[in-house]
Amino acid sequence: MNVENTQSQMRKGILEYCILSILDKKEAYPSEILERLDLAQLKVVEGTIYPLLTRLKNMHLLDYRWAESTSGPPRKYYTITEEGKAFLSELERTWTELQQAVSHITTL
Amino acid sequence: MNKTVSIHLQGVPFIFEEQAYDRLNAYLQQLKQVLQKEEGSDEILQDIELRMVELIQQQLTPFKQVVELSVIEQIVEKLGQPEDFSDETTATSETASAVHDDSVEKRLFRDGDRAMIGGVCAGVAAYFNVDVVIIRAIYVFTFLTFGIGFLLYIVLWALVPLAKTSSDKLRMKGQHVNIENMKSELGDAADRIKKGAKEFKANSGIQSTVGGVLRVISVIIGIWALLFGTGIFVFAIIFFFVNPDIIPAQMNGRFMSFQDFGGLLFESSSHESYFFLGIGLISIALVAQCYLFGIRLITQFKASYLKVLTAIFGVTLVVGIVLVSMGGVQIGRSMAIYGEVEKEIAIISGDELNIEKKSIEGQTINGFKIKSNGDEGVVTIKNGRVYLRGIELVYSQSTDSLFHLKQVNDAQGRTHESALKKARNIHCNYQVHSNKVTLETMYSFPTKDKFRDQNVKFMIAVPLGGKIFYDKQQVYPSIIEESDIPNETYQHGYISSDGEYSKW
Repeated sequence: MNVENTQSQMRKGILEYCILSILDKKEAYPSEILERLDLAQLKVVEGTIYPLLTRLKNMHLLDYRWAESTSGPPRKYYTITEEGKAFLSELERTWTELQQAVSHITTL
Repeated sequence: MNKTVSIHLQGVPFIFEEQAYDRLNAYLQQLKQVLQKEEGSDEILQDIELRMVELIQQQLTPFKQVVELSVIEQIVEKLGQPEDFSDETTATSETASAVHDDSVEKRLFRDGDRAMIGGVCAGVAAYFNVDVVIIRAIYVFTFLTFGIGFLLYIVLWALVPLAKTSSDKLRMKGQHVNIENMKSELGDAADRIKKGAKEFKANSGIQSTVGGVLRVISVIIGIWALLFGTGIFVFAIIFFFVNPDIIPAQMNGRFMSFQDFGGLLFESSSHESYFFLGIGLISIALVAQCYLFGIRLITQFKASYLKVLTAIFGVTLVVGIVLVSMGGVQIGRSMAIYGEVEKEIAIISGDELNIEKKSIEGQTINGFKIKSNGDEGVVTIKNGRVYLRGIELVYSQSTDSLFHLKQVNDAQGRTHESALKKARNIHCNYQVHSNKVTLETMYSFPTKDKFRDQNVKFMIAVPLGGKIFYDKQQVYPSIIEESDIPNETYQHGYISSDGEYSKW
């Protein structure tokens, strides 16, 4: 078990939460989501988010619509559902708890 | 200049460089493989392809319309390795490794790419990671010997699935299914197709099968060469190191070995050692050549050092042949000149002569009567003398009214003197009593004289009307021959090792 592996596992763990948060603010297509993550300097292997989006959609946390694009193929805009919002608030709570717990432990 | 392929991704047309296309295709195939366990994998792939379209479009400009390999490499790097895609890997690392192991496990597939009939042999070869030709040769052997090869082939053909996808083909070979392998696999396939197309143009389609058959035949010949080489090797080892007493001639009560026999042929021990050295070199060279030939036929391996080895052992063979020839020439020279000596044995009066072989038959030892004469073989060596058997009788017309008996010895030698000396050294026992001659059927010469075609003849001059009896049978003039050819007189007789008389 090397550091990189652990780091990537950590990132993957919070990715779900991040995606739901992004979509909670505004609907977006995958490239936009990636752009947002990139701006936030969250290093993600791009490929990881596609299975995740599909899984979240299959869990009815996300929905999507097709929209024409001025350049290239139509875009798949993902939106958060009511279920997704409820799920997100649960995650938010967990995240806050975790953050507090971790900072409490590491600053002791 | 590069070949291009025109494709469309999610309905958007692109012009790809061939290599770029191969790479992308490999990548997508690999993703499909990794994601197939995922629910909604088609959707995920669609999302990824959409993303790819975007990324590719970003790279194209009005001056750069063709998608190059480097573009695809960049995109692949950005999207990540297929292993990272599976959402399952987020759960635990155990499942990840389980998936990993599963992908490595070898499976038996039929190999349609290298098939001659059903691809069974090619698949088995891939499974055991050996050259397909070896499996085919074994199959042909089992088919020819027991026929079970045929049955086994049909069964395997029916039961073993054909490797259809790239990942099947990799599992067939037991390789880790990853993007690098996939790349080489697809590269190989592209090469095969290119090569195949070329060959198809050059020859006819059937010729590749003919080539395959020839290949199998060449492997069978190769295996035969290996077996033959091994045979020579075993024989050479026995010849030089075991040196068994297998020459059917007796030496001091035992059979002779090759070396013993060689000692009776060569004039000097140095000639003998050249000869045996030559035999040794020839053996080594033949064994090596057989192996090299076999290996080259079986593996189609064309390394330059194989050629060098072939040349080296070719030279070894030539040197060996030269040495053996030198030995042969020495023997030939020491047998070049013929010498003959004769000795008057007896002059016998009367009109008949009885010849008898000296026999121990009828003698009594401890009350037992000996029934057989005891055949000691063609060659017997004891007490420094070589004993040979078989004596020739030559009849001729006497100039007077007496029987004249002469012993004639002949031998070969390097010089006339040495030939005469060897002839004089030949000894044959006989006794003459009035008109009875008792002969031993063997004669001897010293072992130091070597084998130089030593012979003994008894020349008998017969007076007019004289008769000769051997073992109480009339042998001259021949009664049987007289009725057939009345005017011809029978000239030669021969007493062989067992005392049997025959007409020469």
